[in-house]
Amino acid sequence: MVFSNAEGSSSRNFYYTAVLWMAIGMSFGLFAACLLIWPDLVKAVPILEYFTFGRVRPVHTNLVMFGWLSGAYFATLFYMVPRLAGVKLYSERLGNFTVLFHNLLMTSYGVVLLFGRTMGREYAEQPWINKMLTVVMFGLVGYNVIMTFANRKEKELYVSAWYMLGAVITTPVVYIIGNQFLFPNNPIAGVNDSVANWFYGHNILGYWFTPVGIGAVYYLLPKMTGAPVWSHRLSMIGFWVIFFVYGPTGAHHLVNGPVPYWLQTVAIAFSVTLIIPVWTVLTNFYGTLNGRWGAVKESVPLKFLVSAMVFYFITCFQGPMQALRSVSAITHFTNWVVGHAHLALLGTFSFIMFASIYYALPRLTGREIWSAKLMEWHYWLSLIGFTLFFVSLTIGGLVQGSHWALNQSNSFITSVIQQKPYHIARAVGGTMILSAQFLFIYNIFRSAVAGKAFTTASSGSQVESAAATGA
Amino acid sequence: MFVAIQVPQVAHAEHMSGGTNDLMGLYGGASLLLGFGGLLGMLGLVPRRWRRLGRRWGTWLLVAGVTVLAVGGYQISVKGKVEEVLGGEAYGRMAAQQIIGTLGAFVLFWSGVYYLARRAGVLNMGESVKYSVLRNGDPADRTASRVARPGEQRLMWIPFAAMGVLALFFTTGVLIVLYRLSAAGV
Repeated sequence: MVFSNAEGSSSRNFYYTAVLWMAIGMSFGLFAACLLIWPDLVKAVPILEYFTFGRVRPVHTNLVMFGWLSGAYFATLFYMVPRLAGVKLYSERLGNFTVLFHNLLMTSYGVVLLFGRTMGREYAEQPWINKMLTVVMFGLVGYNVIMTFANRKEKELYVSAWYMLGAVITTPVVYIIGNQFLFPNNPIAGVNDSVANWFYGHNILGYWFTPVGIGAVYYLLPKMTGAPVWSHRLSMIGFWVIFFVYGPTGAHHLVNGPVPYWLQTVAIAFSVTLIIPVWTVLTNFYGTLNGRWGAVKESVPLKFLVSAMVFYFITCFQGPMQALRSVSAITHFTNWVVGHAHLALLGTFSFIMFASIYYALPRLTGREIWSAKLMEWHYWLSLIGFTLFFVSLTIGGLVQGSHWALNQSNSFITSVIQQKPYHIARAVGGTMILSAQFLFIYNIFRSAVAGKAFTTASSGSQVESAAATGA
Repeated sequence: MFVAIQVPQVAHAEHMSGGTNDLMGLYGGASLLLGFGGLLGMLGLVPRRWRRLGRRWGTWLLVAGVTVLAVGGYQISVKGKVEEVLGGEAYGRMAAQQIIGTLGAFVLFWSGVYYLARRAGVLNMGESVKYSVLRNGDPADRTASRVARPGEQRLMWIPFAAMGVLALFFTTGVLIVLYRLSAAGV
């Protein structure tokens, strides 16, 4: 048989391939950051001269969103859903086929964009055929997840199950509508297309990246602390509010633009209301951790989760703020927005996936993580590098925004030159982040061949005995 | 209806930068604080000594939050100049219909999902569900059985301080820019 049916194989394979796409996607990101500092970096260099910012940047966004983060999400779904449902994954064989499909599609993603074939729509640059295949990919994963739940033995649907089911059902709908119903001739044009684009662009965050990420947190936190979530009822209120409120928020990307005024106002109002589900998640997170903070000292995955929640709070603090018309007028199109996007996708959801990988891979492979020291390096280098990254972009963005507002279009080039120190700081932060990920990838691939056997003892005896003997 | 609302028929160029002030943000923030506080009180998710108070006043706080939102929204829309600038009452009616239609579509859809979930018996909001993840056979991490040591609770102040500092940082940055722009008469 070409595709393995071994339990856990599709989840493991998705994790391994996702981290490779992370390395590739983030490398393109760093390259793009360098191009902002040295725009003529590859001018007249054979072959590389085609790697212009306009091509490299969408390669970066597509590969990190769909190659790395979505790949890791598929792996997480294939790991957690069976355990939430109390049965095996519906089809590991289909899951492994999806791994192959995903990798081929992501290769196509990168090649197509590097050849300059772009639709010019944010997060939807791919040509029509790749979009069809993307819907097929989400459909394959969704089918596997839904059928697993349909055959479940666990009658109760824990909050993570709700989030994950909601994600796999709504994401194809969001993708199809936001990508012009997959018609190849782009029937929606002009300003109306930007409305459709941002319906998709924001809701791919709200109906795909957020629910699976938050669902993973609700799963991992009890497993790492030994405590059930503080309030299931509150978590369910958060789930229903997020799925109700997220839909109309897309037009906050078009505030102060030539779109209907009422649409902007609806988007702003719903963006502010998004604070509610965020507070439910944070309240539950800190409520569950209450009295168990010592575990954070000894667990790198928990450190990643705690940091992710800080970044999640900040992302969702910035979001409603920058949706307001007066704030949007100074932050729109600036580096502030770039920092904000990375706070969500890297600071929050990638950090959650790092925790998920450190938790799940030992259980999938039967091997402990090879080096605790490398885990610590991965965490601290990622955290410090990312803090430098988003702080420099935030300050740079405010400088840009105020310059543009004060000087109108008179000295745009001056504003570009002024950004150089911030771009340098951002690139330094990006280098630290990428280095951390290389350490991470090395560690988990080493674990696959040289990690100690994973034991299921959860008595914490190793921790306690080490403490008792002062080791 | 859902699809039709996502595709606006006409795009008006009434971006109206600076048209409506962001007072709605203040009303929204106040409403959220009241509403969320009320919700926590109603669910008994407050410190023990406040639980009785929370259960007694929680619903009223929630109602107060919704009231602030509704009254604030009404006040802003009465003060707003959209109809007057852009060609009159007919436009205002169309805008209102479009807003209500959009909200109606979302309420209907998610209410339907909620109703179907309840009918199917899969919607359990009770606290018993939260233990299912701990008994699903997936072995917990070693840290799950770690005994807490004195003083470790103070670690929670690190992320709390980080959130506070960052929120202050972003807010201050934005306010400084807005102040500079208004001082420059922009």
